[in-house]
Amino acid sequence: MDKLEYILLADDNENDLELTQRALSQHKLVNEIVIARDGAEAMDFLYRRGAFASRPEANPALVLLDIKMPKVDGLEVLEAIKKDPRLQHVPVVMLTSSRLGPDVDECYRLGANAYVVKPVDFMQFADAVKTIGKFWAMLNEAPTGNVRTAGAGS
Amino acid sequence: MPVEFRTKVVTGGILAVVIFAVIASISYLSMESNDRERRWVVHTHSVLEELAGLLDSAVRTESEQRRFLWTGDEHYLAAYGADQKRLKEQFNDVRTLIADNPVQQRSLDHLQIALQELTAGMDQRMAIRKERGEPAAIDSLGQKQGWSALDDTRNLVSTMQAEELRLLRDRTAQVERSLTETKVSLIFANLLGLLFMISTATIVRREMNSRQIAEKKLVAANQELGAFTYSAAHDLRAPLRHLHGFANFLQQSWHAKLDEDGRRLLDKILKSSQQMGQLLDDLLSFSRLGQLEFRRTRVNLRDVVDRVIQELQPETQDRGVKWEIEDLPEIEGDPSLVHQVVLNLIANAVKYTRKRESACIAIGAQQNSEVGLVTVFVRDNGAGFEMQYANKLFNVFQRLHRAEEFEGTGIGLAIVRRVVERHGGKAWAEGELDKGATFCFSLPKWRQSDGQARVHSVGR
Repeated sequence: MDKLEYILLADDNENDLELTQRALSQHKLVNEIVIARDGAEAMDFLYRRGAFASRPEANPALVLLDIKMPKVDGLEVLEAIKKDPRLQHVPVVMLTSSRLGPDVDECYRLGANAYVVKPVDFMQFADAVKTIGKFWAMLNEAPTGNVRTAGAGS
Repeated sequence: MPVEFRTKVVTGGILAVVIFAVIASISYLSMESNDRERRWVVHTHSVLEELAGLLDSAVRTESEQRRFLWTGDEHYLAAYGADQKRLKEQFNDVRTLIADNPVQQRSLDHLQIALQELTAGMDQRMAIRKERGEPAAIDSLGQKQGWSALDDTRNLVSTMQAEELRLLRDRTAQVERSLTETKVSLIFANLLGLLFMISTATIVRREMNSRQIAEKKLVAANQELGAFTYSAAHDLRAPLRHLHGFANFLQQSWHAKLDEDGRRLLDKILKSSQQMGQLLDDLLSFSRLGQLEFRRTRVNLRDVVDRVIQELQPETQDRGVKWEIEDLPEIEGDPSLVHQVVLNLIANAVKYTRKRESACIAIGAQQNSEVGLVTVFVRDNGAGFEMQYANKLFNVFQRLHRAEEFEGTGIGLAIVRRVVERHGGKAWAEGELDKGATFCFSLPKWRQSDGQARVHSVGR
């Protein structure tokens, strides 16, 4: 099975983090999961600032972003990624507790590659994460420099 | 508040009616009295005319008498007789005309005496002329008493005329006074009426304003409540997700280490959290219904029903469900909400016929008695319900069956009713325990229907 090099997972909720990590590692999809506890940390990681100044140069194969986060929220991180020519090809999947509200439209407007509602049923969520992981793993070798506009994934 | 408002408006209305009735009465009475006064004025004028005529006749008789005395011509005697007769008639006319006035009656009594004296003097002189010839008669003319009777007559007539003229002045002044009074009271009453109308209108406007404000507040409160429900349900999902997730891992990784009782308890935790998740989802979608803006377009009900049956295929494929679908009209509504309504009702029919060997679900439409609406029914031969609970069915989280019998949270029909009512229709149900149920809803007909959308009346 193809594996993602590493993924960046940004979520402020400890429980959600643990569950997502478990789901990803259960399916053995990822070599490494980098955790950011809020939007600011995610930005630091992506731009190799602060604590992440010395990280290897390679961008993550996938970014999983929770929308509601302290300091800098998921939408802001998404916007920064999609505006930056060096990062815009990195697929971003938005995670949220709700399929309602203006968030969905806003996410796609900002260029999110997928939008996933965290289901209450954990197995569903695990399946969703697995599908997303597989999908992006298969696209892993796609040309760089282009914005990927995959419509599915959730 | 509404009671007070109603009292105010009713009072204002009654007062306005009373005031306008008063205005009408004043106008009528004023017209009446004006007419009366005018008749009095006319009356006074006729008295004056009669008096003038009477004096004229008296003077004329005196002239006729004189001519007769001079000439002895019988012709003058005849004229004298005629004038005397007229004089009597005129006197009687005046007597009738002033019958109501004691002062003038008294003057008239004096006038009568004066006239009698005058006539007696003249008759006497004319008799002398006839018996003793001209000189004696002329001689008798020189006697003073004959003169004074005519002067008395003249004076008395002018006294009476003066009295009538005074009355005329008084009456004219009276008419003018009453006209002024009428004018003042009409202006006053009209102003009062206007005042009441303005104050009633002000009260109504103020009430309307406060109702508008109240309505805005209500809408805001409703939205707030909807937002609250939404965020509460939303925030409750996260801990629930964790609960379910960790229980799941426990089941996967520690399954072997748990004994049967432990596994059973874990299973219960998982089932309960799943159920709570379903409840929260239902609550979310129900609260969202109140906030969504919905479209109004043409919806082909037949297409919707076909799609729903297709969607329910996984549940019906292993069972024998007999579908009886009659002609369905085109309606006007929000396609996704109408789909939701149809889905909820048909899914219910499928669910509650599960225990039937030969399930039968009928879907059709009837012309609604209310103009512009169409009634759609979904009838099944399933578990049914007792009619006394028919209305409870549509309340949120209200169920008539235990969860072990038929699963569900009790939101489906609440959504049906809410959607249908937002479209201006109604939803209701009929049923009999163990015999089946019929769920009906009415929705607006598609107005630009060109007649192709046939609606069949369906007998049961």
